[in-house]
Amino acid sequence: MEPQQLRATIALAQAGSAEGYQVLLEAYGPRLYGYFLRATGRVHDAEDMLGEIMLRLVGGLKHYDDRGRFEPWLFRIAANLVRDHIRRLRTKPPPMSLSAAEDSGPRLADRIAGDEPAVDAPMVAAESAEKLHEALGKLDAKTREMVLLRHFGQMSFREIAEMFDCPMGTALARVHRGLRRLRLLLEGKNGTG
Amino acid sequence: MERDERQDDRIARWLDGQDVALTESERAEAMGFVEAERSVGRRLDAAPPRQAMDRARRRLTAELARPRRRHEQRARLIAVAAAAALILVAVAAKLMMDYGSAPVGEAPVYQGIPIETLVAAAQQSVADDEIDMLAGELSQLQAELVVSMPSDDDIWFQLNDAPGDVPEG
Repeated sequence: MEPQQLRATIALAQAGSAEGYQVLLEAYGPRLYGYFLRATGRVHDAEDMLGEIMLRLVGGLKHYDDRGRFEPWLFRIAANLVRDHIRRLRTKPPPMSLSAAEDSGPRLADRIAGDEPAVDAPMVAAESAEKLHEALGKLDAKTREMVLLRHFGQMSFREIAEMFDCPMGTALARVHRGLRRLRLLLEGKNGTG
Repeated sequence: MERDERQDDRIARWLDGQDVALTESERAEAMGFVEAERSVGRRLDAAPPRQAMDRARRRLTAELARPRRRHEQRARLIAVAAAAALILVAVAAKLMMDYGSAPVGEAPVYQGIPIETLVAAAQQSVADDEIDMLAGELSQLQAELVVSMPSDDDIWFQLNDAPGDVPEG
């Protein structure tokens, strides 16, 4: 969305217009959904979170300061939603399933593998999608979050550095390492290099 | 190329669009990053199923409708409170006129009815479900007061008949 159009849409939504919010949903919904799906690995959770973030937007948009960039602001909220979700999973794990095809809970293998947030295969038939989720699950949580925020939130390194309280160079190094590892994993290599 | 922190920082700034003069090897690293980002990014993208967007739209619509209902209720509440305040003022004025000068040794009747109690009683009785009914009743009462002030007996009847609302001191 063009900056001018985005500003007008935000102003419309801030004034309480349903149309403004709908336009924001159409514009950012697909990217937000992609972010939630890749961060949680579950179709149902991604759907829930897409609805949830729109509710948070209704409550929070009045506090949005137009001087900042909208995407990073929006994806910070999205990142918090994912973090909340992971915290909930840790304190109250959902039922486990042994099958990757079931979307009711993390796969047992993933739960045994470690206490990293489970990024398991959702109910997606495509083998490549499963492979991608497995690959993302092999990144450490911070790197995964940075890679996803960079891609879906189109965050600059300055914004990532601010969010994770680290130097810009560190943000770049982490994202770059994460991308290289993902690429290797997706090519069927172990990605430790 | 093994990069150090300073080089990472310069490349990050350059990729952010800042005016940084990169060396040839730094530029090659930056381009390598862009290429990796593009190739992995393509695989990360995922279009939402239609029902996901539909559900989000429905939740959004429901959420946006909620505050409007709250505003409407608040507006009705304010109208009712204003009407109640008017009635209280009218009743108090009438009592003042009629009983303002009580015989020596006798307290005026209205002294036993603290104004806070009357106000609190009026506010407490305004529950969400009762707002419309109460508003109607209050409007009617207000209209009657304007047309004809009730007799002393009527006032006593109204005050005494309101169970628990007006403590008699």
